[in-house]
Amino acid sequence: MTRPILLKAEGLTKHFGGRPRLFGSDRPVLRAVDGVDLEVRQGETLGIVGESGCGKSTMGRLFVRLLDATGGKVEFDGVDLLSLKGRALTAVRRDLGMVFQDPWASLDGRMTVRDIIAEPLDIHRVAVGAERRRRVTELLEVVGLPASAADKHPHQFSGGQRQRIGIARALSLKPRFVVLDEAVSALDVSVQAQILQLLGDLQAEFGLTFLFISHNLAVVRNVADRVAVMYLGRIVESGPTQALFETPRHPYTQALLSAIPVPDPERPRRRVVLKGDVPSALAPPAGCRFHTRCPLAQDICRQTPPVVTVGADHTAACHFAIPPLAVS
Amino acid sequence: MAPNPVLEIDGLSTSVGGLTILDGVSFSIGDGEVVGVVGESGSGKSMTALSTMRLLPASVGVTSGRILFEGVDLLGRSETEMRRIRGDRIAMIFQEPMSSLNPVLTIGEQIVETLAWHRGMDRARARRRAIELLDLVEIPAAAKRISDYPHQLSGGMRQRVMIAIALACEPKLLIADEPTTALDVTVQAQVLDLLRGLRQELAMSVMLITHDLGVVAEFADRVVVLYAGRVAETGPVKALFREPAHPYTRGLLASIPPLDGPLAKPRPIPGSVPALVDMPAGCRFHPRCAIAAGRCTATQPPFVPLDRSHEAACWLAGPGGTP
Amino acid sequence: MNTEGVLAGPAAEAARPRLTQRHPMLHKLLRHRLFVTGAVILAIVLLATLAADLIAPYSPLKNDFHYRLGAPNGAHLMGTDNFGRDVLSRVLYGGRTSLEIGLMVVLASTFCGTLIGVSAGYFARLDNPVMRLMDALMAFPGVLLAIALASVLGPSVVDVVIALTVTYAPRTARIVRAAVLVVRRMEYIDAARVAGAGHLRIILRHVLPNSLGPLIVQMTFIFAVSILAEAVLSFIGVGPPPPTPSWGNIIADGRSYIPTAPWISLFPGLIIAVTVLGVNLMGDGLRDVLDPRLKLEGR
Repeated sequence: MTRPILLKAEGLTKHFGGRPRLFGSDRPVLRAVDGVDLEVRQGETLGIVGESGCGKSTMGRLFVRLLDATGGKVEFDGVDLLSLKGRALTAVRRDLGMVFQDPWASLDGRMTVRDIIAEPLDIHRVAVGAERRRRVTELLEVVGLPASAADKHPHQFSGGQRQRIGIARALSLKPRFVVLDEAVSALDVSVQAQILQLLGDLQAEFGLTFLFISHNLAVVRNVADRVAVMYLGRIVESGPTQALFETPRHPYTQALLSAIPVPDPERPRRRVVLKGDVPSALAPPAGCRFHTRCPLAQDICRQTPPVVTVGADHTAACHFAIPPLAVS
Repeated sequence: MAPNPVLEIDGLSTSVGGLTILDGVSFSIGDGEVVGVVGESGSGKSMTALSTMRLLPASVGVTSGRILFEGVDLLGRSETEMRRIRGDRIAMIFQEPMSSLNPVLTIGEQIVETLAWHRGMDRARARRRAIELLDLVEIPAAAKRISDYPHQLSGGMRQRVMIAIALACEPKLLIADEPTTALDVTVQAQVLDLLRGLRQELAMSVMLITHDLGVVAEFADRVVVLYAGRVAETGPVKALFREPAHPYTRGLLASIPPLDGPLAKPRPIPGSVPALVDMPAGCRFHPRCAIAAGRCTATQPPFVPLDRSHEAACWLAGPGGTP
Repeated sequence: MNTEGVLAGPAAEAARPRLTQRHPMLHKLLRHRLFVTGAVILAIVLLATLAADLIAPYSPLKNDFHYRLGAPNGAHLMGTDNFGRDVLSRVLYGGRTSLEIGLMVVLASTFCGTLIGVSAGYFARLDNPVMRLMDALMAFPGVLLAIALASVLGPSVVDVVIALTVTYAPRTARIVRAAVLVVRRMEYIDAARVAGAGHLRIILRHVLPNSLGPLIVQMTFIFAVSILAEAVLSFIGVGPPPPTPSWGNIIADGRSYIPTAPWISLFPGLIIAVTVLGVNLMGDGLRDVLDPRLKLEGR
């Protein structure tokens, strides 16, 4: 049973800089997101993984209209998301939510928890007075915090609790689509597990659709239904979680998976160690962006690789979408 | 305990404003051994490293214990003596290479600075040695890059430069405080490979502080698990991962989502690390422990030996454990 | 290990009395010795000048040609000036003028400076043009600019206030802009945008309250500096016109008599020094409390 598509991106692009300046030379263009095609189904969790500079956070922000895209199209529930303005944009914001990475910077320390959580309600004039208090209490309960938390200030809470407050805020307008941008990365391992459990419960209860952005593949593997791997602004591989992790088809995905230290000292690791560092997004390599570090690079890689279907709903952008390296 | 340990921490306790942070922490590091000190926030792992280097902030005081380095108690040494030791016999690398490197000096100058201060080398010799070191940490085109400033290098390369500075005087002990946490996974793999190679080549002991059990499993020989300022469990890395004896260690391992094998939703440890002012009596982990009972709530558990140098501070550990 | 954060945790919080529980900064402020000293000094001066009607022994305008240039004695604690007016009474009433000028300059320059600083900090396209204008104004040494403006505008309290506002608002603007630039990048601003907040709401509810720290400190320093500036302006002759006393013009009047009757200029000078000291101490205290303190390393 395939669920209906909630969000569909085609050729999504975001370039920074490049505008001609009055004085001085033109700024170089940072191709943060460069032609992304993506589909998110209702009720699922799509994991977006990649290392720093790959553009995953930028892409998340494009989906909630924190940033304006340079090009491409995004269809959200039948509506052209990128072209909305004014009242129409404000209206669609009720369906969008976002949870941020830093539990300390994402809450305004001068406000009470109640005001923080209720801010979206205030902006859209959804509830006032007693009704507002009631909804805040309800949201606190849903994220596992006591009602007494409402009158306190963020500095009185721990990192994990602050993330819960951030989640409550993101859910206050009952959105359909929530972007989680490294939402557990700044938390301790045991606290991460608590928040992930909470997110799972919330998704099941409210039928939420999550875009889960993370650099931590182990976490993504256990929370996402499908995963997309990004490198330098492009998606290099995407597919169902199990398929992608068991039979990764793109050399970058393979290298990424093999590089992660596993908490098992007895497991022999066949490691693909990449040479060099990630190139700058200001001057990405021509053709396949990964070819400068790829153990399989050939001349043909200077041309943009096609997107090859390698399995059910599983694609990889590589000239040699190949079987995974054998583990000895 | 390893024979003739390079570093021996014995009953270290520190406090701030009357509250105990570290409480009787003891472990040792043998010659050429890598010991992983593992814990989450509030466990005291960074504080242990800072205590060893005598770099604690003014508000924190050492209330008891000894830190024996090559047989001499570091806590008794004068500041002048410590300055001779830091960077020379004991070196440290930190999590954030950008803030640990001086942004207004070239990387070459920063290495030369160490060599000049500790070894009294003249600039020409120091510069040659600096290029050697940059080669050692696998920085390409070392002779050219020696004049680069930190901001011209990527995160992975800056971390290598920090390692080069730390190794300049061939220290006996390297303290690495979350050395790869701020790096991308693929870069982390490179740096860990580098550290592994260097440690073999230079026969160096390493205190590796991290919250990442994967890194510990790959790189450490022995593991010390800290919880809320106390040692919960120590042991050889394979034994500890195969048969974790302390409920906290078990909980920690269970809360990590597995990268391969069957999918499992990570199982969280209920509750949270207690605040300094709210430390529970008895075993500090008992409020969050699934099997706590009886003595656990009242008396601090002793170390129960389980196997060769594998022990856990738990009333219920081992075959005869009773609450 | 973030021991600072841990010490401020829930358990310790419950132990403190309620008002300071909500405002931990107020609590710190009231325990800061410099701040309290400064506040006490300022309070004394303020109360004395406000109560001038009650405690001044004479009218500040009353000439008495029998007692011209009299040294301090029982009847005239600070002596008399060249018109036989009691210096103490003039100092007390003069304080009103000077402090009033200080207060008005603070309010006006804070208002203008904040408006300019927020615009420049929040709207990137306004930043360059606006701040270059501020730089141009700041290129003139403060007091000289004030003197030039005051001479053009003419001697009156209002004109002095305008001149000093134009002189000091750019400094405030710069500080506010710096704070706004930091706050603008915080994720809670992004969160507000995602929820649909417009610029006005973000500025009023998030940016301004979080930029107050350095602004408040700056306000105290402007207060101190404008009292001094007023004295300079009066000395030059472009300050508040006679016969209204102000500390500055009392000093100016006594200028010619320093060898023979130094007390005319001395006492108002001392009072200015003491007041400015008090205000600066308060500013230092505020800055210590409001500046982000260095924390021990995190995890």
